[in-house]
Amino acid sequence: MSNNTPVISIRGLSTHFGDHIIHNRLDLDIFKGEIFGIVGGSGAGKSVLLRAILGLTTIKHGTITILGKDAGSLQKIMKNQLQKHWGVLFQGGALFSSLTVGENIQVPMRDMENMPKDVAREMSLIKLKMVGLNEEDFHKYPSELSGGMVKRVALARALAVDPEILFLDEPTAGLDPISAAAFDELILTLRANLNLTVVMVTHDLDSIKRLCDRLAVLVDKQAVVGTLKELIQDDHPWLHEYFHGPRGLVALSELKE
Amino acid sequence: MMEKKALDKPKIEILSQKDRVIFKPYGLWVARTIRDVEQTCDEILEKTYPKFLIFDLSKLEGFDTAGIWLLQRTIKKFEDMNYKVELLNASDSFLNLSAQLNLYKPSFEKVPVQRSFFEDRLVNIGIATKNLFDLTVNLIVFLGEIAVGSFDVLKNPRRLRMISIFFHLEKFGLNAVMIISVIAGALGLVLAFQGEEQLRRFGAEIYTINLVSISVVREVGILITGILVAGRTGSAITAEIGLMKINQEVDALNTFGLNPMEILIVPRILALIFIMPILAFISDIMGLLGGGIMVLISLDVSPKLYIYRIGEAITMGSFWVGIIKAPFFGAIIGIVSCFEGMQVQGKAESMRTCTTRSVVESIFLVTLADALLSVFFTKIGI
Ligand SMILES: Nc1ncnc2c1ncn2[C@@H]1O[C@H](COP(=O)(O)OP(=O)(O)O)[C@@H](O)[C@H]1O
Ligand SMILES: [Mg+2]
Repeated sequence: MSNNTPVISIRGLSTHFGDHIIHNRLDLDIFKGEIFGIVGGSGAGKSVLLRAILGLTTIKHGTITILGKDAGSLQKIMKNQLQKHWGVLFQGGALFSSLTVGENIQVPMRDMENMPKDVAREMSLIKLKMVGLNEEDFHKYPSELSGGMVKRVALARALAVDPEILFLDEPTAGLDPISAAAFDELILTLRANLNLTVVMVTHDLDSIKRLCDRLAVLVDKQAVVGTLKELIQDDHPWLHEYFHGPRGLVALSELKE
Repeated sequence: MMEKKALDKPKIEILSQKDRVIFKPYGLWVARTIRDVEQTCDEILEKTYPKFLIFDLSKLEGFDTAGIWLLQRTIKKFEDMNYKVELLNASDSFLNLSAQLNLYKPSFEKVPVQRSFFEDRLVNIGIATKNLFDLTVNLIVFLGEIAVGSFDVLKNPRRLRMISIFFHLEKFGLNAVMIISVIAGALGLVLAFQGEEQLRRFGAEIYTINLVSISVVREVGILITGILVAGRTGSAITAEIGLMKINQEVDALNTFGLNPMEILIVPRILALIFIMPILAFISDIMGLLGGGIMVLISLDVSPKLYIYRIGEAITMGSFWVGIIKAPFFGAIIGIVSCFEGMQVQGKAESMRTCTTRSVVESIFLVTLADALLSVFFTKIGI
């Protein structure tokens, strides 16, 4: 585990929708084995950054390198078969509505990795239990699930073939505090044992405190990167408000002198 | 490259000692190689061994949850066959992950069983019957709600959503004019062409004009308008309202004390009732125009004579017979498409069935109504 080769390296990334510039020459490095948080106000471009890394948004300038291979557009990602190395949890879950829970989790297993049917079935049940659901939910359709359950199934699907990189867009939003805490622990175990790199967009200060080794805060179309301790000291107005506002004060109280 | 591949390939080396057997897994035991892993495991399970088995993991290059699971499964199977199994040289992360996986061991008997194919068919017949019954009940309730909603609006005309009605008039009307014109024109053309071929045999080709004008004005113009609007606008209404149901927008309206009937349904139905006669009229004109082009080309009559003959062929009655059907068709399409939209529930799947049903039912009912009204008007002698 060499800590100085970045798993994801972004240089001079610019994205826009029409005249609306979302990122302006943004640089970012994410290293192997770390849990990397992305925070920022609503509409700051967190999801768009994630989509750019995944090749789902066209980028205007800049380069994105993942696992030493060229990324930045779907074609390049396809060519380098990067999809096999990551799992993605979308903000809304993005479960396939015409497939059952079990079938959803088996999509990457069967269609991407060509697992035999019986193993895929067993593994999908294990993953289902891993995210805190149980066997009865196996044949349910996404429309029969609550919001939190959809998130969990989506996570199970993202974890289906043990990716090297896990992308999570607001994984704990909409979960009850107990499930959210259990989720944090799950991510930590997986990271510790599977050598996982986790990139997560989150607003949850408790999650950030428990999980994230480093953070990128998206402000002014740029990324301010550092550990939580460093960022708390930062005197950018938004950062100050974020960490020292009423919610920040409670969640992070023991980190501050 | 080839050598690397060979190294990664999962396999198990078997070392036999006097009272025990040592299995040494090699290679990558991960999701990507799981087919080979399963095969290897199945192979070692087939033979018989002395009582003590040892899995030595020192040569295991890499693993993930899938690999560990298969190893666990194999060990479990050995233990069930009364072997004593021991793990050797397992790394910490292997043990941790293994322990973690043990927590999540699924019990397969708890997965609800799915029905067999035959049972499934039987249940489906039952469900279909029940659905038909429910649908009928729902339709009656829906018609009642529309009646109540319309009555409320009539009692208090300020509640009528004029802006919404005009918005839908534009959406259903203006945007449909083009396609209806083209198709009605083409139909008129074809009708004239075919009619003229047949009538020429009797030397009565001049009656092509009567044929075209009467069939267009009484039947074809309005029917094709009905079918096109059912397909184009009806499906759009169902999809739109269905999406609102899925997004819980309809529920949101209810929580504000607003009646979805009044806000979503009545304006759409009214807009369709108003717009259909206009579309039917345009369709008539375009049909006559299409027929006219054909007649002018092949019969060598002047435009003036064509118009004069049309005037002789169709009475005011024939014209109104066509137009009077239009609001009925509009109401049918509006009610059916809104009803099917409101039937959408939760799943995206139900959106598909409801949209399909909406179009099929509207076209069927429009055609049926057309037949009944035609018979009726002929009987009363218009
Ligand atoms: N498909 C799109 N078309 C136009 N604008 C978009 C699109 N997707 C996102 N945006 C804009 O980009 C900005 C960043 O969006 P997003 O990354 O989703 O925010 P968040 O940080 O809350 O996840 C927002 O201002 C949003 O309006
Ligand atoms: Mg977002």
